[in-house]
Amino acid sequence: MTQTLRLRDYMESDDCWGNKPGQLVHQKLIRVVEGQPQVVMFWMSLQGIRCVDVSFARESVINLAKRYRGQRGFCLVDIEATDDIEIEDILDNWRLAAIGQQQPMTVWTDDGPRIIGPQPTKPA
Amino acid sequence: MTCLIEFPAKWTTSNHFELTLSRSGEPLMGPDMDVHVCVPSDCCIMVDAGVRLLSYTNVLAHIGKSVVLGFEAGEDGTMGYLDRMGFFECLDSRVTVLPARPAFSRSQLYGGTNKLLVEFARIRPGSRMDELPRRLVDSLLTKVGAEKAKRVLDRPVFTMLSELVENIYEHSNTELDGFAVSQYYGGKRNEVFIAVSDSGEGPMARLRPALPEYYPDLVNATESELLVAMFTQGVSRFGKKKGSGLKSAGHHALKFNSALDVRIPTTYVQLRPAQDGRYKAKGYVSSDLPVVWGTHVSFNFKLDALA
Repeated sequence: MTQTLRLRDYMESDDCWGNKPGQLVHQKLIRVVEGQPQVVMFWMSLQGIRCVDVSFARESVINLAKRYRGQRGFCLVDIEATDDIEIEDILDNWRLAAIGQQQPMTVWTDDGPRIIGPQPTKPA
Repeated sequence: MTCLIEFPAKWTTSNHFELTLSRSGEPLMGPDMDVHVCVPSDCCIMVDAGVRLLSYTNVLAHIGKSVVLGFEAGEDGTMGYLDRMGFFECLDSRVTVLPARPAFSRSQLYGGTNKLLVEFARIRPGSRMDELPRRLVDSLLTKVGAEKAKRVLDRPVFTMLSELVENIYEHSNTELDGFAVSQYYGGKRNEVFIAVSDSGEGPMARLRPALPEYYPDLVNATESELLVAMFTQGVSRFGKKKGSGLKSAGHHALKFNSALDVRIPTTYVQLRPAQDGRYKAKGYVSSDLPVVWGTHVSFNFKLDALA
């Protein structure tokens, strides 16, 4: 069973930055995940988000994936590219956060699914 | 005795600020209790130098030095420009301004109505302002004419500012205010400046003790080498548990081929993009400089490539 979570719904504004706001969102997301033990894959929709920095990305979602590594899956979706802004630019901060935490992160775009950050290994 | 800091009569960047300070002896830690900062008529202080001047004079006043900040051209010169940016509202009230402090703040006068105005944003450790990076980015981009450049710049500039501001909230370990500013210079320059300064203890005091555990190969590194590693490898006092805001900011700056300029208490490093797509310290790096409290980072990059 899967479920879509719109990250914007857990944020105070359409751009968020820094450690503490990220940790607050992280706590909200943990409650959602814990409340739905039947869900094995969460689609983390980035729809409606203008910008998040690396600190926020790390503390909110990347650390969530790290916490549930091997138990629940998380995948970034609805990445809204424009004529000027490529998907890679939008994913930049997510990638940096994933690399920093050594946490593979799945994204699914029009080109299909792939991993950003380090390649997955078996959980310890 | 009075220690004299005399700025050059030309456009003055953070680089000129550092050179001027280095030629002025040791204003902060030296024995002279009177410090006179002279800004001649033809000196145009750019925002990256302005934010350092602001932090530095506030620290001088904070430790009990008698500081005079003299503007030869008065409000008709660079003083008027600094006033519009809210410089004097952020300046320690103990600093004497010549010919006189502005009678009223042009920043306050225009602040509510003039969207083009760029201001020094005060960063008060312990009092987080969630809207600060967005306000600075919007203020900057309002001035950038090209719509495409605005869209392309939005996310990277937001990240650079937010990561550097977050660094102040998390690491500066001081009760003194930090400052951030971003400005677009049009015309032939067509250039963006971003500068963030704090007056804290600087990064080395807490990084050095963490080196043996997380980065044993850097234990004997110089401050300059460590600064480069912070921007390029994300070296931080938390090891890999937390990413380095400096590396994140540097990553985005690099995409614009941005020059990067960092000052910590006794070391000054200029980083330039190298052919391998990473930052390298410019040939000449300086250590054993006059003491400046805190961490001061500035970027500038041309927008011509984004047209």
